[in-house]
Amino acid sequence: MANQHQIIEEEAVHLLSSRSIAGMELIYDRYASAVYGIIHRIVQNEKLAEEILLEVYLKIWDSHSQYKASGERLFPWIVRLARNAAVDKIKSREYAGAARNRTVESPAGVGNQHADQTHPDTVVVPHAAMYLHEQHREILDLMFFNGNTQIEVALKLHIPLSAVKARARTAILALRKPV
Amino acid sequence: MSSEQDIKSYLESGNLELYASGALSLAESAEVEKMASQHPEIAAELIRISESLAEYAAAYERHPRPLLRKELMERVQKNPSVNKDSRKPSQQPPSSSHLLAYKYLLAAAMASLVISTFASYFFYNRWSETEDKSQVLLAEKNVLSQNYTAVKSVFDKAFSDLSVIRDSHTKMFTLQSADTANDYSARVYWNPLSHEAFIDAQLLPVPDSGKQYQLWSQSAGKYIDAGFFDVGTDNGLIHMKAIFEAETWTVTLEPSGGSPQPSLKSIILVGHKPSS
Repeated sequence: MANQHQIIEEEAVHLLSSRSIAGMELIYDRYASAVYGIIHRIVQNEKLAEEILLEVYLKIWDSHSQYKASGERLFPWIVRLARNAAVDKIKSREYAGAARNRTVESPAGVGNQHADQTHPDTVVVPHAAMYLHEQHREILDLMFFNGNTQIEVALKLHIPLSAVKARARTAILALRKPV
Repeated sequence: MSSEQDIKSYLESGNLELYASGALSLAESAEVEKMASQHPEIAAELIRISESLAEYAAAYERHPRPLLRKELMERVQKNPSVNKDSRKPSQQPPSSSHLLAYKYLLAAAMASLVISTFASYFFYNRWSETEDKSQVLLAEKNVLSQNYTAVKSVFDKAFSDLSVIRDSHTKMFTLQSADTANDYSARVYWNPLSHEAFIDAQLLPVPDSGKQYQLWSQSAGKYIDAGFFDVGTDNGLIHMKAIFEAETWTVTLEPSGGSPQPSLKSIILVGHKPSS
């Protein structure tokens, strides 16, 4: 699967740098569901999530050359763009109040909702989140989806900063273990 | 930090995971980026972490409305830089080194503009968040200090009343209804050394308007004015005029502002011998 990933990425990057719209179609069809899912989970609002999805893709179109310099894979780069755009949105003033009260929704529920529609092209990974320990999922979600800093996480979970670091590390190690 | 041991402990510190999850401040992130630029092992680990995280996040996939794809492609098509006629890379037009240098300068200027715009947006957000939090804290602090002042004044009054009662020189007099049909009472606390007199009149009814109670000390058959007082709110002991001699006490009902001599027809309470 990694190879297939890489071929699509290379093709997409190649097309994007030649300013061909086929490059956009390729990365949209490949990643839009994942990207939209992430954004939606952060902002919890369909209309806003769609707006941000468009913003993110237009940004990819405009700044894919920055990606080439980063030396990483395309998908994590896109995920970071999307996450940061969405978190910026909820942290901006008008969303500050609502965001604090948001609750973390279960990944299993979200996954199952589309289980019957998934087909190989849209599934990027198996639902790794479902196999994650609750404590690990909680800390990743607080940081990645809710935009908390390490200090805010420590305050919310009533644990010292050193424990936040240790827990974040074991959570990501757990993600790497083959299911 | 250069030894292998140091790099290993940095890899295991959890900082890279926090960085990839977006949980570090700008300064902390810069530190991680610096480490990654100096040590390829750290850069490689960071890439692995972002991949794991991206795969995890992708598990939350959700399909956008199909029309959104069309909308996006239309917006991209409007972009002047789109290459409309081909799906193949276009030939880069030859340009003089002059033009190229300007292009690089322009690109560098644009990049620094973008970076500074992001930085100011970021810091503005941080600032306004901090501002909001400090407003909330300030409001909470004001409420707390008002509550504290209120509680403190009640406590101070109770403490000073208690010290009057506890003083071994204080004599207590119990006053009871002159008219046995009523069941009123009050207590007078008097200190013959300090000459201070207090009345605890919480069991007296509120008088008609235009009337006030007045306390008198009795000594050698004379009535001595100890001042008038109000009832109705329970504020503890009421501090009366200084009294030098007292065998017993009387409370009368007088026109508002008190009288120089007691109206003997309107005696409400009469005292007895000291109980201590």
